[in-house]
Amino acid sequence: MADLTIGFIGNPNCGKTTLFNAYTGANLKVANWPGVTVERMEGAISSHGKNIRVVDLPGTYSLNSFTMEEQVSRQFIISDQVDVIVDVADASSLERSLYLSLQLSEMEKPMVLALNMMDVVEKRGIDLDLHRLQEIMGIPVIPVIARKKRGLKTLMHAALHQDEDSKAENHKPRDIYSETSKPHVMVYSDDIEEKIRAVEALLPKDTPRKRWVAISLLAQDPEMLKAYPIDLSAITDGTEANAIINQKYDMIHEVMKEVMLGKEKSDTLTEKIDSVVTRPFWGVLIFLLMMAAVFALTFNLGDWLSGYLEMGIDWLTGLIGAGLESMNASGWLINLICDGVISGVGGILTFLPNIAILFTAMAFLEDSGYMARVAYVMNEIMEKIGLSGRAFIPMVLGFGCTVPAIMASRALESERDRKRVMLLTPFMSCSAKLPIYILFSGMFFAHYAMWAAYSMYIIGILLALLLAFILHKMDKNENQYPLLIELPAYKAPSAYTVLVYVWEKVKDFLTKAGTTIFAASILLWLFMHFGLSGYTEDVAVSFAAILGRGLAVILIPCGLGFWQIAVALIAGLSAKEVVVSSIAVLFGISNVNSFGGMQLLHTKLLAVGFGGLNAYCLMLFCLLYIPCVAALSTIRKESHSTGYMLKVAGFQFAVAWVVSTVVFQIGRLVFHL
Amino acid sequence: MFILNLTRKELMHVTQTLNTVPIGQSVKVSSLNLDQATALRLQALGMTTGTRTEVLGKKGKGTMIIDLRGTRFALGPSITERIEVDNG
Repeated sequence: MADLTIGFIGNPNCGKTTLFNAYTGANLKVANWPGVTVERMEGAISSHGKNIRVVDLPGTYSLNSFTMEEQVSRQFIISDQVDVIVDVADASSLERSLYLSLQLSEMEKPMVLALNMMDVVEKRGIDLDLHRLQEIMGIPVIPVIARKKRGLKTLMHAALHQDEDSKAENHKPRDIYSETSKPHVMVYSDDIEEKIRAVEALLPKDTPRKRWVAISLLAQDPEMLKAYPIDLSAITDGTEANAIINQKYDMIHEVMKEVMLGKEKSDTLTEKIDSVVTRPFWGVLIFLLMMAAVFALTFNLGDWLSGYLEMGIDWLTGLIGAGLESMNASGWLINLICDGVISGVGGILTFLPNIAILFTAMAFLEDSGYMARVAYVMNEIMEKIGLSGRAFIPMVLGFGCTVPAIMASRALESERDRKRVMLLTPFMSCSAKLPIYILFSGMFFAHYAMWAAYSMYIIGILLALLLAFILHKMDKNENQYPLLIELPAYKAPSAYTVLVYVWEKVKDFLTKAGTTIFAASILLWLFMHFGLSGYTEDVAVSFAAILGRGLAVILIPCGLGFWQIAVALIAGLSAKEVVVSSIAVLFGISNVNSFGGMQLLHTKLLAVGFGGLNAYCLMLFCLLYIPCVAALSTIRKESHSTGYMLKVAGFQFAVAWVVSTVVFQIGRLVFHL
Repeated sequence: MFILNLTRKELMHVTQTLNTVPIGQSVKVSSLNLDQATALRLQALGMTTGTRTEVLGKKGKGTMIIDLRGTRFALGPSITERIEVDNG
C-alpha cells in the first residue's frame, strides 16, 4: 500500500513525462482515466522511507473544464486521491507555465513547483531569481534537470515535506515559506475580490475550496456552474471571466519582472530549423521525405529482422513438434499447438521488429519537437477532408501495418479524428496484403502484374480520401477543433524517454499477441479441424467449409462465390497473408511460392471458373474487407468500445462488397463474360 | 478634407484581422471574435487583449505560426481570421 500519492502536472512539452519516467523507470502502468481516452500513467516508488504512488496527469495549460485533459486533471486534484501536487514548469519559458501554477495555487492543495530544463536556462544565460519566485508563490521551488536526473531527490524531499506540513495540526506550509502572511498568492482587483466574497457568501457553508469554487463560477466554468446552480445574476455582469484571466496574466507579468533578471540568447536553433521545415512547399516535401525514410527503415530493416525471427519461430515449431511426437502426443494436439497456436501467434510476432523500429522513429520525431510542425505543414491538405494536420501520420503508417498506425492515432487531439483515422487506416494496403497481390496478379495478369498490384495501393488511398471527404460533408458539427497547437523548442530527444515509449508499445503488442491472438488462433484452428462428425484433417468437411459455403452465396455478386475462397477470406482475418496459404491448402497445392505450384493453382482455379476478373475482385476484396484480428483488437483497445470495433468491421465489409461487386458486374459487361 | 489632417502614425493605426498581418510584423491583440471555448483557451495561453504577438510564419488561407509570450503556436485560419489586432 502506498503511504501517499503525488500527482505530476504541467504544460505539454515541459518535460513532465521525462521527469516522471526518471522516477519510475519503465516500471509503470498505463491505463486510461475513467470514461475518457486520456492516458493515465502511474508508478510506485519508494523514497525517504515511504512508499509513494506517483501519477502523471495529462499535459495541460490551464484547469478550466473545456477539454478532457483539463477535466481529468482537475477532478483528480480536488479528489482525496492525491496528497501532493508537483507542478512541473519549463524554466526556459517560465512565463508560459505560471498561469497553470497560479490556477493550481487557488486549489489549496499541498504543492511544489519543479523548475525543469535548468540546463537550457544556463545555456541561454537566463538569470532567474529562484528565491524571489519561492517567496512570491509561497511554495518550495526546486530546480531540476529531468533529462540528466538532477535534483530528483531534493524535489521528492520537498514534496514529502509539503505533505507532512499539510497534515500537521498547528500550521500550514504557506506560513513557513512566504515572506508575508498574504492569504493568497493571487489577489485580484478590489472589484473582483468583492465579487468573489459575494459568491462565497452564497455557497453552502461546508463547500470545500470555497474561494476556488467562487472564482470558477465567476469565470463561467461549465462544470462548476452545473455543480453549484446558484443565481449569480445580481453579482456578475459577464466581464469577470476575462478580468480574471487578464489579471492573472498581469500578475505573471509582474512576477516575471521580479524573477527573470536577464537573458543572453534566444533560441536560435528553433528559429533556424523552423525557417526551413515550415515553409509552404518545402515543408510538405521535407515531411514526405522524412516519412519515406521512416518507412524504408521500418520495412527494410524490420523485414530483415523479421526474417530471422521467423526462422527462430520455425525452428521452435519443429523442436516442439518433435518433442511432442517423442512424448507420443496425439496428432491433433501437435497440429493444434504447431499449426494453430504457434503459427498464429508466431505469425503476428514477426511484426515485432517493424513495430519497435517504427515507434523508435516516431518517438524520436515526437520528442525532438518536430511532430507538432507536421500539424502546421499538413493543415491545408487535411482540412479539405475534415481532419486535422496530424491525422496524416497514422494514415501513412497504415501502409506498413495497421496495428502501429492505429496505435499512433492516440496522439490525435480529438476523439472524432481518432475514430475517423481508425475507420480509414485499414484501407491503406498494409504489408501483409502484398503476398496476396503478388500471387494473384502474378498468376492472372502476366506482363501487367506490377500494375495490377500497384493499382491496389492507389485505390486504397483514393477510397480512404473519398470516404473521409464524404464523412466530412455528412458531419454537421464540423470545425470543432481548429488548429491550435504549441510548437515546442527543438531539443535532442532523450534516449530514456524514447526507450520507455517504445517499450510501452512493444509491451502492449506482446500482451495482445499473448491474449487476443492466442485465443483467435485456437478458435480458427478448431473451425478448420472440426466438422459435424468431429475432428477431421479434411478442411472440406469442417465447420469452416460449412461457413464458407454460406458466405460464398453472399459473395457471388462480387465474383467470389467459391467456398474455398470464402474460407480463405475467413482465415485471412487472423492475418491477411493467411489468405494465400489457406487457398494453397484448400486447393491442395503444396508449394504455392514455386513456379510449378503457382501454375497448378492457376489451372485449378480456371477449372472452377475463377478467371482474371475474379482474381482482380479478390485482390480488391482483400484490400478493403475486415482488417485482421490484431488490427481489430487494437481498434477495440484504442476506442474502448467493442461496438465501435464491430462497426468498423461491418463498414469495411460493406465497402469491400460494394466495390468488388461494382467492379465485377461492370467488368462482366465490358468483357462480355 | 479632415482625413489629410491625420498624422502618419494615426493612419497606420487601423484594426485588421490577424490573418492579414504579414510575416515578421508584431501586432497587439484587440479582440477575439471566437466562440467562448476557443477564446478562453487562447486567453489561458496568454492571448489577452493588449498582448503583443509576432507573426513568424504564414501559409494558405491564414494558417499561421505566432510568437505568444515567448512560445510558438500554430493556429488554423478559422482562428486567425477572427482575431482582431492593432498594428500600432
